[in-house]
Amino acid sequence: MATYEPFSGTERLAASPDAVYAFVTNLDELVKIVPGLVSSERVGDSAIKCSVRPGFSFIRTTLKQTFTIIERVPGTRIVMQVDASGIGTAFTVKAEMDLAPAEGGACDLKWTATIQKMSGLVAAVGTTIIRAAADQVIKQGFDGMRTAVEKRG
Amino acid sequence: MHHVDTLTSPTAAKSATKSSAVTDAERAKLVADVEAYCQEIRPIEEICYLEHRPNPAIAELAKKHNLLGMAMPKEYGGRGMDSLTYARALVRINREGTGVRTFFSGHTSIGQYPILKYGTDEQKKRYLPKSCTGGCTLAFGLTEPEAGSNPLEGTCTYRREGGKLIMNGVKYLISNGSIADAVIVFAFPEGSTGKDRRMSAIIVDTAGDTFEKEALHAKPGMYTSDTAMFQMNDHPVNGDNMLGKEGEGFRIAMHTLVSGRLSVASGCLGTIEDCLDECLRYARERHQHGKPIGKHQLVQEHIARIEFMRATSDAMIERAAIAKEISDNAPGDADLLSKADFAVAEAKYWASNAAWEAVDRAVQVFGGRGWSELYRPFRHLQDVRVCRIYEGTDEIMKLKIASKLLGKGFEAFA
Ligand SMILES: Cc1cc2nc3c(=O)[nH]c(=O)nc-3n(C[C@H](O)[C@H](O)[C@H](O)COP(=O)(O)OP(=O)(O)OC[C@H]3O[C@@H](n4cnc5c(N)ncnc54)[C@H](O)[C@@H]3O)c2cc1C
Repeated sequence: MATYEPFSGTERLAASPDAVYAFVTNLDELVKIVPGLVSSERVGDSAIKCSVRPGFSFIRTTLKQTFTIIERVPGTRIVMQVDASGIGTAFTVKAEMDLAPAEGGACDLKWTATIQKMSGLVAAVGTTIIRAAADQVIKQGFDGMRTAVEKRG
Repeated sequence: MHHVDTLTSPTAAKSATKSSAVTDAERAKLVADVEAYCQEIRPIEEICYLEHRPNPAIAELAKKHNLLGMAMPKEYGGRGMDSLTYARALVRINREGTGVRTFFSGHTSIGQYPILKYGTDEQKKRYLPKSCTGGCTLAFGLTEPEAGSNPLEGTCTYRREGGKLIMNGVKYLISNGSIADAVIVFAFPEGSTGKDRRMSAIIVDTAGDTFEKEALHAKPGMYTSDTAMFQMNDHPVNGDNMLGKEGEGFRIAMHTLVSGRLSVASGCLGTIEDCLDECLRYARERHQHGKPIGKHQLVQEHIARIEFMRATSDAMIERAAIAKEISDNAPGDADLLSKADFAVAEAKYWASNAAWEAVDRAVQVFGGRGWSELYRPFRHLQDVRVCRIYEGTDEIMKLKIASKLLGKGFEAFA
């Protein structure tokens, strides 16, 4: 497998760390911000399965994704694993999110996403394309999260 | 004497093309129907191509003009054409685009053909008549993500369970793969190793949600025809759908590819013919430096080279089609099949490379307009490159040809 540099960044959200934590760990709510969500189904307290159609022109496959919370510290930290598979493709991403209070009651969400496993057809696609596609999905995801958590306050 | 020269016996060659139960009038009718199909499809195909979307009329009009079983016997609803007449039909069809012709290759040359050659009477009756009349589109599923030039590295499997064959695995880059009602799938017995790991061919009906399919869009040409991947997840298939004997899949695949490669070579000749026509017209009409560009000798050189590519490809395809017909008329004759395989590999290699040269020169003759999908040469250029890859790459064709000439002990894959 090609090696992929982890993705990382910090998002400032106009909501408290507790509110952000509550949103991210409520998987039914969280999956609603996944770009291209088709359907979802809870498979336990810490996991949800969903079917997603990413809107890229070069990959129109339907991906089956499972989001599993593998570590949680209330108001502070969430670690989530995303296992995805489509026709002839599979990958696993580990997403770490650290929450900290910021000015004016806001929250700084510091995140890192590491591709742990990638196999099949998608693995042969150039790393820059994967990166560009992931950047797009991550941006859409955070835009959705911002709208959702800021609306709740 | 060259050991594969099919034309050393002109009587055999002549009788091969006359041996099928088709009259001259029926052949002439097919040629007319193909022409009508091509004329009707051209405007639809051009728009779909420019908009990079599939063209459902490829199959619909083929049904209307009764072209879905050109090379199938009349008893199964086909038109009973011999290999050479069918090859010539594909030449004409490919002038409308390699994507249009690839539909026919997937459906007839590598879809219907193995059922005809290896199917039981019951399988033939179940699949061929409806495939000739638009009720069942076919495809050929050999390639996998990790197994292309060497299909023996495939990982698709089957197991028998309650009278069914249960299929698992992924097939990739399959022409007609997301529109087919049935695919000839090549797979190994589940859990088999060593001598037991022998590939079989299975006719897989695609209905049901255990067969997931996806059209591939990231391709630089052939936008109007279907190239797809599919995944079988414990997909159940009628237990009677094994094609040929269990474990005979590799042989069936290789035999089928003789038919498929001839269709690719024929298609490439169509590309060359269309480029030549387009260049002749444009070189007469377009003026630069005070005269038609066709009067500039360097433009004439392009035209002469395209004509050489056309004439040589035409001759090799005719020779290969006759060799295939002779082999088809002598089932079980390994020597004749081997000769056909060789002649077809030569024709496929030559015509696909000749077409690549021809499209490049045609684009040059068109100048700046040549570098545009609005004009036919560039569309051919985008499409035809794949002909040096699919149904056996250039390299695989060369290995086949050289090792055959070198003889025993020089098998390239041993
Ligand atoms: C548009 C399209 C339609 C297709 N339709 C079908 C279809 O209907 N059914 C189907 O089953 N498949 C289909 N294919 C798959 C096609 O047949 C394969 O892509 C082709 O056989 C090559 O396999 P590969 O892509 O895995 O390349 P690889 O086998 O990985 O080859 C990569 C390169 O290595 C070279 N190479 C490999 N082995 C050797 C060797 N021993 N010696 C020297 N060089 C070697 C090859 O020539 C090539 O240059 C289609 C492909 C395309 C692009």
